[in-house]
Amino acid sequence: MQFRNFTTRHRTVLTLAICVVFSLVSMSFSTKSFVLRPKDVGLSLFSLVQNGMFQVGGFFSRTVTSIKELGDLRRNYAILLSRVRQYEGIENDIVELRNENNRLRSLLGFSGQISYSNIAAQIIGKDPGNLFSSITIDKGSMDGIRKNMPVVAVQDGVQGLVGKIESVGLKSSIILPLYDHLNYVAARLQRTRFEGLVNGGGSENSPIVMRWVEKTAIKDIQTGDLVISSGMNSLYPKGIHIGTVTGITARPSDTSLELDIRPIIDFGRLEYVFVLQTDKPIPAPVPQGVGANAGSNGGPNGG
Amino acid sequence: MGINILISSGILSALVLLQTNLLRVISIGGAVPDVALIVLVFLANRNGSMPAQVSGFVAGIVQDFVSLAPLGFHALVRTVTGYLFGLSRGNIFIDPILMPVIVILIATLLKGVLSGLLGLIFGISSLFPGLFSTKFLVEILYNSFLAPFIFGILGMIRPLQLVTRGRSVE
Repeated sequence: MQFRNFTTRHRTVLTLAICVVFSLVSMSFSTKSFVLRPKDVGLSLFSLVQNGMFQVGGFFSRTVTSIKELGDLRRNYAILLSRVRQYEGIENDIVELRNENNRLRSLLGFSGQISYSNIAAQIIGKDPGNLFSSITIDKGSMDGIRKNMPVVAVQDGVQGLVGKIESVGLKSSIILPLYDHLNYVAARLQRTRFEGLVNGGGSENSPIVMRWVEKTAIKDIQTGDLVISSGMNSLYPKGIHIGTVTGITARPSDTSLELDIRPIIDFGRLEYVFVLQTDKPIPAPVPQGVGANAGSNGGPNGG
Repeated sequence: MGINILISSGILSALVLLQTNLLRVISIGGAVPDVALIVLVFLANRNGSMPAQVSGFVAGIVQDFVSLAPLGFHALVRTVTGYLFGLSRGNIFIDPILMPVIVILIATLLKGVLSGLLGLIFGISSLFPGLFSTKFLVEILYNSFLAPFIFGILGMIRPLQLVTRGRSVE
């Protein structure tokens, strides 16, 4: 009876205590490497709702924009029709050039292209707050996605690094983006081959930083130099474009240089990404053959 | 009270999920306004600690699921925020403009302080760059700016005013 009176009187405080204790215990689990990950279970559940909201929002915005697009489409149709005829002639030349390119590549021993199977995914959300940075995609463990898989995207015809898979649900996953403070990528400058470690600046707008670059490299490095993944850690395959150098800092007290990097990928307008299955490399194309079968679920660039 | 907690939890959870995509459209300098926090504080002031802390906890858990924060992080922050601002029920009169701005300014700062403390205790180093960035400063100002509008809209929604039908839930 006394216990009942006590619980009734202190109901609010007891509920607060239960919520706080639950949160603290969950955090203790989440911040350690426990096999059981209740977070992944929750991600699977709530990403369904999140995906639904994204689809509903997308439907309305698409409906509104499609009316305007209809007029544009008619106009563009006529222009494109004339261009198609023009391109038909060019296509024959391209096939010839592609074959020649393949032959030259094999002659030069060029193997810089990434040749892994990939899973195309759509971005359905970003972190709801401003303290953490994450990107949610609509593919999960059921689609073959596993933790730590590297993620790339193609923007303006260039393939660039987006980040790595951090958390996997059944039909959705969370990416730890390149600009996150916790993301480290072993990198090198493409032109001068100097190595360093790229680390995120913490937010989409802040530049990423390349540290531990030899100080002697200061004479050779220029702004605009391309930074690529070096493949030195097993996580990211080598040769993926990361960004371009925008600033060089050489402090007298430091033994290495610090480079400001502008990512190749504009995260603000990122819609689709490709998750690389690094355990499934694609055999190099046969030099003379036509076999450049780069598809969306198997090709180097993923379409 | 149970059904009202359920409704509040549903509204706050939906807002958290909307903050992952649709509400990003109104972000300034990459800073998304924490509309869920503003609504939580409003509900806490109207309905008291009990419903606010429970619905804050539920919304926080949902936020933890869809972000890279450890499970329990936002749940704890929103539970404590709901509880503390629930204590203001009947003690603070919310005028149309000034008080919403002040209350939400304090709530966002409290969120920052609690997040920082949890970051220190649990070694969550990844949140500190965000906490000491201009993005968070923009969020504080943005939340405060939006508060009078959101409080005004919520004040007109009758079911939210009748959550406890004038009874104290303490």
